Amino acid sequence: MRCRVRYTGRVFRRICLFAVLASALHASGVSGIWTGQLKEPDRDPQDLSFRFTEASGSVSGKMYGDNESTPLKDLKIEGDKITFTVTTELNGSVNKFTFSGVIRENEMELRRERESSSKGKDENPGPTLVLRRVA
Amino acid sequence: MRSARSVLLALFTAGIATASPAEGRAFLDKYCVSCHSGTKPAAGFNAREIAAPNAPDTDTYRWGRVLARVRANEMPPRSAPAPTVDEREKFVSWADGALHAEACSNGAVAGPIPIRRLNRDEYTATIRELLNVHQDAGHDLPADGAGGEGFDNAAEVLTLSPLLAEKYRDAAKRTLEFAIRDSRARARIGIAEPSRTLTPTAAARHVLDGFLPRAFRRPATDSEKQAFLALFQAAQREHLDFDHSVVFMLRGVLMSPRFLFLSVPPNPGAAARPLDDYALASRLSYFLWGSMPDEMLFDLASLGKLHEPEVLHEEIGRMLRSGKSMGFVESFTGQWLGTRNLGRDLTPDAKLFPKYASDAELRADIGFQPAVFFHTLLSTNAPITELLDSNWTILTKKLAALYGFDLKKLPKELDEQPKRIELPPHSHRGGVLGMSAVLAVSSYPYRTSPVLRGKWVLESILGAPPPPPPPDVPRLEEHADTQPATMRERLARHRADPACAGCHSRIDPIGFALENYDALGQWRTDDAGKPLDNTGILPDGASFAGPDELRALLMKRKDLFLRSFTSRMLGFALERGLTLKDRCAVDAILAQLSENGYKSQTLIEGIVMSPVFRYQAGSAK
Repeated sequence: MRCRVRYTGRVFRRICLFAVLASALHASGVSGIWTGQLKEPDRDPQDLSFRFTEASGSVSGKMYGDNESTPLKDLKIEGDKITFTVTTELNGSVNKFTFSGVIRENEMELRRERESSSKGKDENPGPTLVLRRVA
Repeated sequence: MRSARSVLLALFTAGIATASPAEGRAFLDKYCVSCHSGTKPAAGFNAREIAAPNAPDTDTYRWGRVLARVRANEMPPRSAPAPTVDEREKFVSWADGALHAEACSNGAVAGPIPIRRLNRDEYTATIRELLNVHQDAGHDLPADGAGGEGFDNAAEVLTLSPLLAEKYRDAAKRTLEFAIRDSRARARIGIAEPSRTLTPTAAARHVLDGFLPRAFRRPATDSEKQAFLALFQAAQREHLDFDHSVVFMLRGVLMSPRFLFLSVPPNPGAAARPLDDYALASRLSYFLWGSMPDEMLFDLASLGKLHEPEVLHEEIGRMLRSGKSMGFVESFTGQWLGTRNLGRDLTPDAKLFPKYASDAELRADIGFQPAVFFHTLLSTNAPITELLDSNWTILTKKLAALYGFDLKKLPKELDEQPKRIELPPHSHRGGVLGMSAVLAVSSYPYRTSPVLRGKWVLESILGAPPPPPPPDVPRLEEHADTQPATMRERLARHRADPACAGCHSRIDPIGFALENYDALGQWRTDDAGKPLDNTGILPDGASFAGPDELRALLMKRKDLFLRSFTSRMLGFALERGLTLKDRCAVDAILAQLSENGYKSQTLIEGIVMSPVFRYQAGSAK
């Protein structure tokens, strides 16, 4: 019986340790819904929201839109660095945006750079936005 | 909230006049017990036996009825001795205050969430989101009437008759037949094409997996999916091709009560409980967008995070900033101010106002101004009191010309797009009272009416509509035909009748102050060839001249406006008429507003965070 109690205690401690580690991993990971406002000169701030999902060791994501979401492409996370692209189409005009920046706990600081189909990559540095994890 | 009308009217015009409990009881004894007593009291109401309105065991329903009938001059009946206006108001004030105190002894509590149909506008917006079709799916549905606090989203009026069900069936059929041919709509519906590896039934199942949770605004069960899949299979047995079988299946979905009605699962317990996150998502989206939740709201609900206060706070901000909030703003302002009727039930006379009749752009600018003003107020988190008076407004080039502005002196260049403009001093255009749409709907098509405008201010701004006129009162126009005179002279004759004076001494002065605006809201300084007299004196001696002084008076008494506006907005958000207990939530929201400088987003947040919005009352006795 004593042996069984000791065994149960060890298992419990391991479960606790695993839970703590899993929790820490989640907190430092990217999973969740993130929102922020893109601010550009002479324009109203634009709400941008993303969802990142981690499954089986890989990360995918989407950017929410007024009507439907757009998948994130070329999503890479190295250490605290993140980059991804979003391609949108409005009235036949295709725009590719590259987001890059750093992840800090529940905040993500990103710069958005625009590459239009007709003009190529914009030479000016794009606007920045700070995303906060809301869920 | 309407039980407070007379009290508010009295507060606005003459300060607080409240009967003591003894005077309240004496009123009942003097005017009610002669019929409402004995073994067979009239209408089963015994005025001798009813407990005081603030007694723990009082009959609040019965008191509500008493208040409504006394307030509306329906009781005592015309054949019985009538109380004076003061007696009546003091009695209503006492009973109303006592009921309020008793109802709020435990603070704000959850109320009922009645099941209701999507109204025409909500149906149209929901179909647009669900199918990504840009057509008016509700075009052939009849307009919905107003209920509750005066809005067409009130559960009280949103029922479904067999005839209306047929209209919804036809609308669903027509819209789906369009959608199935449209590539964007097919993508939104998630049409999967059958192939060698995907049977038609599996493809239809795939459509349902994505479509049904969005249509029902919550996860769908397997048995629900199976029921609609059976429709697809029945269509296939009738040799319909795949697309038409899918249309037949989706018609069933769009005719399902789970799509057409907003409802929450019953709460069988005695205690109130929080709404589940999916129900909360729908409540939020139909309040702030007049449409179904978007993907992010659904995701937050699926993660079980939406109810968290920080998440709700973020979502309220995001939803108000979204262009979709114009749906809410247009619906609310159009019904609150009555401006929705402009061009429908009421159109300014084409001969007197040819510019209005001939210029569609001007008509649109006039119609949009109140909604764009309120949207700007909300998105900039400006104080609610700026609806009464503001140093800015929304203008287009044509509106500015209508209002007589010198375009060169305005701080921004104007075009056909509505813009926020800081107003020059003495512009007379701050707040909603200087807007053409408001001034037109509170006029007759061919002339102004101080009575209509006074009534409009009392009703829409102060939430204290005067009681209906007594029967057999001749219309003002009948006097006018016999002897030309200014409006003020004609109304003075009207007020000379003691039966009219009680209310008109309060209504007319407010309307006189707005006489500088003609029936389309253009500025003027004379009436019938005589210099215009825009002065008014209320029964309490408060005097004012012109719209600017009226605005100043309203700002001094802004608490009445804030209570009325908060009540109307809460009724809109809860999609039903307010109960006595909901007034406790109004009290709490008003306290938050006062602490936060009356910021408009505080009002929205106060409503959403209130237990009456987020919780569901228990149903067990």
